Amino acid sequence: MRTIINIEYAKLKKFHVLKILLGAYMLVVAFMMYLMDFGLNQNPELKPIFTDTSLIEFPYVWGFTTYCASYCNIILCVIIVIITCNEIQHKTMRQNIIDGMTKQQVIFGKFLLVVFLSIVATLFTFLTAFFLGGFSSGFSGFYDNIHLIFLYFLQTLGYFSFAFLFALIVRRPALAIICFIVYFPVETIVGFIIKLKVYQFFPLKIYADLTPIPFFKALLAASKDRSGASEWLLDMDHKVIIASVYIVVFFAISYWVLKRRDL
Amino acid sequence: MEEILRIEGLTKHFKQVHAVNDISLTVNRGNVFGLLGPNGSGKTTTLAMLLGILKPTKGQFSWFGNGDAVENRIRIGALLETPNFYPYLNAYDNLLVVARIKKMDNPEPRIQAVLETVDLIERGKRPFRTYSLGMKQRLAVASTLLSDPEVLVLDEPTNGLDPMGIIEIRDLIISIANQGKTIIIASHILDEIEKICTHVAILKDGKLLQNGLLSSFMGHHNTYLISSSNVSELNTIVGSIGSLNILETNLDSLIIEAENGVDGSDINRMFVEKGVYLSTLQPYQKSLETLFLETVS
Repeated sequence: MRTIINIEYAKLKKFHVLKILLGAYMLVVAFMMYLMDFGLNQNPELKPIFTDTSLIEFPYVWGFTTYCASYCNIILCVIIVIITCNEIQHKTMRQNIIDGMTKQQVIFGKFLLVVFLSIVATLFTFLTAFFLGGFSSGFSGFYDNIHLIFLYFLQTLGYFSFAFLFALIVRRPALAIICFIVYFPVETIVGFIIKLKVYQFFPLKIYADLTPIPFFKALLAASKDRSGASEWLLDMDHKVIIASVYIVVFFAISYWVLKRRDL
Repeated sequence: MEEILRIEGLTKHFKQVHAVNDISLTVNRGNVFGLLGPNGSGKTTTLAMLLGILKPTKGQFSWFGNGDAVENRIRIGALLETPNFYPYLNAYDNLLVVARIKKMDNPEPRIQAVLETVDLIERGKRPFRTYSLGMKQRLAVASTLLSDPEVLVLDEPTNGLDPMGIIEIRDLIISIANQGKTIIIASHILDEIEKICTHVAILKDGKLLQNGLLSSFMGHHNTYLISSSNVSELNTIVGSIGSLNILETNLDSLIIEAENGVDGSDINRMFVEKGVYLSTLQPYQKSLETLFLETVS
């Protein structure tokens, strides 16, 4: 594993696109949070609808940060797609195998990249929430809802494994990015057409539901009522299990695609 | 002699296309083995199977008597088709990736050494995407040499190089071969192969047509090229000498075969005795081009 980490590090340490997109992700998350908080402060009459206190106080800050960050996962997905497609297009994946790596090691390297990006995103989200919450109102309520950070980690892993599979299948970076981005509205439109009972099992829906809208009190209440009324609506534990299964399945399919394909 | 590579019945089909058909051969330590063939003859497909890129449809191969295990590839330096490197990395950083894959300890001095060998120390500081084709090819050759491998597998190593570059790479390959390394080289530049290789295999339409020691194909023992001011007179004289036989008549020369035990000085004496002084008398070797054209046509 250490060898594979060294190899991936040697490949990526000077890949400026990675640094630029990571920076963009962080900036956009921070900007989104600032905009929402600023918007609410400018319209105090709206505040009671959303939250009892400030969005950036514990424990609300966990949900607020992970929810904002979840919209920016797409930027990190683009990194995964670019790196994977480039390896295929420039035939460096093939050269890695000629030089002595196995296909398993190659795919494990990419799996480590996915996990690394998930950890970076989660760490950034955690630190953002930690400092925002800490500076705004101290650390009371710190541990309430902290599990949302774990759910965000799972969510990023889910999106990234899906992006990785897309990249392996489509192979061309621009086309893969377009297909991946188009898939989001397509799944949502399908969700409008079919029943929620089925739609709730779709991969991106499951992933998105891991970080629900945290501060819209009316929606939360409605959601609670609905889950109480409907036996078939998935609770969070089931969503976690299904999201984990999807992650394993996406990686397994990626492995199968790569193993089967001539490079 | 130690066997480095054994191929038995290697076959690759892409749907209806039979790219490689039932190839069997062996390469021994120290051989410089040329894989010849026209475009589409199956050279690169064969090498791609040997390097783990393509799965054979049928047949098997074994490196170092150790099957097709992936560890074998760490002992091989290989260049297949075009040079494949990370476009945003410079020469040094690209070689560092290869060094990590080859599990080399302290690779920095070795990287500097191979970059110097291919003259990329200064020019290699820019990202790979800015290189000329020749520079890319040099870097690919440097990467094959990086781990000081026991075997080099080179697919068209002089592709895209200017005449000076071709000579430099060819000399480099010869100097590596002189170190006793085994080299397998695929090319359709026959002059290149003739100057470098000890053994050749000729492929056409995925089939192995010839395989063996290059000198045994090219040189017929006791074959000579002779000429004088009057070629028709030469023709008549050779016809009258029982121990000589005409193989080919050219405008200004003859290619003749002598019986065993008859050497160049005997031939010279025979012509002098007949009152003819030869202006040329030299052992004759077929060019690889002739051999190749005879084999594939």
